[in-house]
Amino acid sequence: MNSKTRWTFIAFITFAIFIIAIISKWYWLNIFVIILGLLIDRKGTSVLFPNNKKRK
Amino acid sequence: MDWNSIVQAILGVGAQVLIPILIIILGLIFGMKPSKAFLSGLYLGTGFIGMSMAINQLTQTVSPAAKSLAKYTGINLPAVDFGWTGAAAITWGWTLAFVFFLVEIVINLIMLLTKLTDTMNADMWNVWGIALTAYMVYQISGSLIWGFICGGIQVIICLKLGDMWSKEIADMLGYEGVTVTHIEAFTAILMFPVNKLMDYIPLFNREWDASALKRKIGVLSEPVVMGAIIGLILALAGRYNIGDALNLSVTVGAVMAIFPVMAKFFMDALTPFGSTMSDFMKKHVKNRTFVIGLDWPILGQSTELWVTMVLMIPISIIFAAILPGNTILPIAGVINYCIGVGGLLLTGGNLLRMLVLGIIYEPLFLYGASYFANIFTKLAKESKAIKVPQGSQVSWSSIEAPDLRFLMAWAGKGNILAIGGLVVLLVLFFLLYRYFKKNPIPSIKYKHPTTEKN
Repeated sequence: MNSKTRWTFIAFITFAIFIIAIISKWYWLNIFVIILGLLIDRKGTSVLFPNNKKRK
Repeated sequence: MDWNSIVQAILGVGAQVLIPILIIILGLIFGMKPSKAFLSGLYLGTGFIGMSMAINQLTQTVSPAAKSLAKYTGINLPAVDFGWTGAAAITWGWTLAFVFFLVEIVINLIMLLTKLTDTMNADMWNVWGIALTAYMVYQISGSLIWGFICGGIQVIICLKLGDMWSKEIADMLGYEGVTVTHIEAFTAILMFPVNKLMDYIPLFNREWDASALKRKIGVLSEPVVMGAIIGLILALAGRYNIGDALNLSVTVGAVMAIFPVMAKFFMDALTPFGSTMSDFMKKHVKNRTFVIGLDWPILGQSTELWVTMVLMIPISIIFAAILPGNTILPIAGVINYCIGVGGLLLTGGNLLRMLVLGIIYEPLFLYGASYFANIFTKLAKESKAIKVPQGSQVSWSSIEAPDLRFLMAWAGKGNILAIGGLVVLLVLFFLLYRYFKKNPIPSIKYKHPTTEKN
């Protein structure tokens, strides 16, 4: 699995957990959304948004 | 089945389906491979669904806290805030609303052919905003023709706004060939003079984007942390118990964390679409570039946008409580997109300017909503699209372009002051348009801290 596919997969998983948290009203699940969201922001941004890095 | 029912049935599927379909069709016209065009549409749909869910969740989570806060602080405001969904429901209840698809398409085609715009508006979902303007103007001025003319003026404004923002969006977010044609960015017109004044104050001319803020205040600048803190403060102010307060805090934090994730889908959808369109234009149309107008959530990659909108939540509630003459408490419209989107595009993502402009201009929306409460209540009762609670009014606390709608409506009644005000507003719009044509990337004027030291 290359790095872009891996981060895209993690993005989908984060989205899925968020939807489950909303639908089921298990709001504590959002803690994982926050953790994964922060992880994507810190480690995955350069892979997911390569143009941004180039521009900066 | 009449035309209105057919149009409403098509629109019933929502922006998340309509816009991707249009993008797939346009992608195929511009020569994208069918598989790539389909994938672009699918990613765009996913992005819109995710953004809508996150925004709705934010509103649904924060609204009860705002209500509870009002209850315990004794704020008693008679108008119920039904947000943009209520306004859209009222608009589609008007039998002539669907005609504005035709108005939008015809004006767009004429302007493209006469080279008066480079924007091809695919954001058909938001045609309701144009119909709403016409409906409100018609109701206040009594002239249906003037209502249609004002709808037409709004179409032209939206297309020119699209022309204005396209280069900035490409620079700021990396989306080539697309722009935002939403009328909510019209707030930038009134913000323009104050933003210009800020050019003369050194504090506002430093870099104040999310990464600069991170260098200054560290983890507190993380949107997730800010969201969680605002959520917690709101919950405690509304006297939630600790468990519910933590739930609210985590949910607002999670919503802030999900926005950049959703932006990834927009990136995957719009990057191949933009480059295919650019190649097509270079090959077939000399000296001309076209941009596709889309809905504002494509800006969701911007941290500054969300930070501003979340920080404005408590500020708007405080304003609602203290402003004399205000009749509405922000509930369904508590997230003020007009301030976020208008401020972001006007300032190029300067967080400090966005917040100060937000504080200065928030009263405009509350007073706009208070003023239009009578009209919205009348329209809601007539169209039966919204149930109006006994003895109260309904309105929209973050109504888009309240200044433009107010002035157009009263100008239609022949009010000299309104006619003058409308002329001034349109001149201001022209000046901002010209300014953006000369300086399409506002963020380049801000000084980086290291550059400043040198």
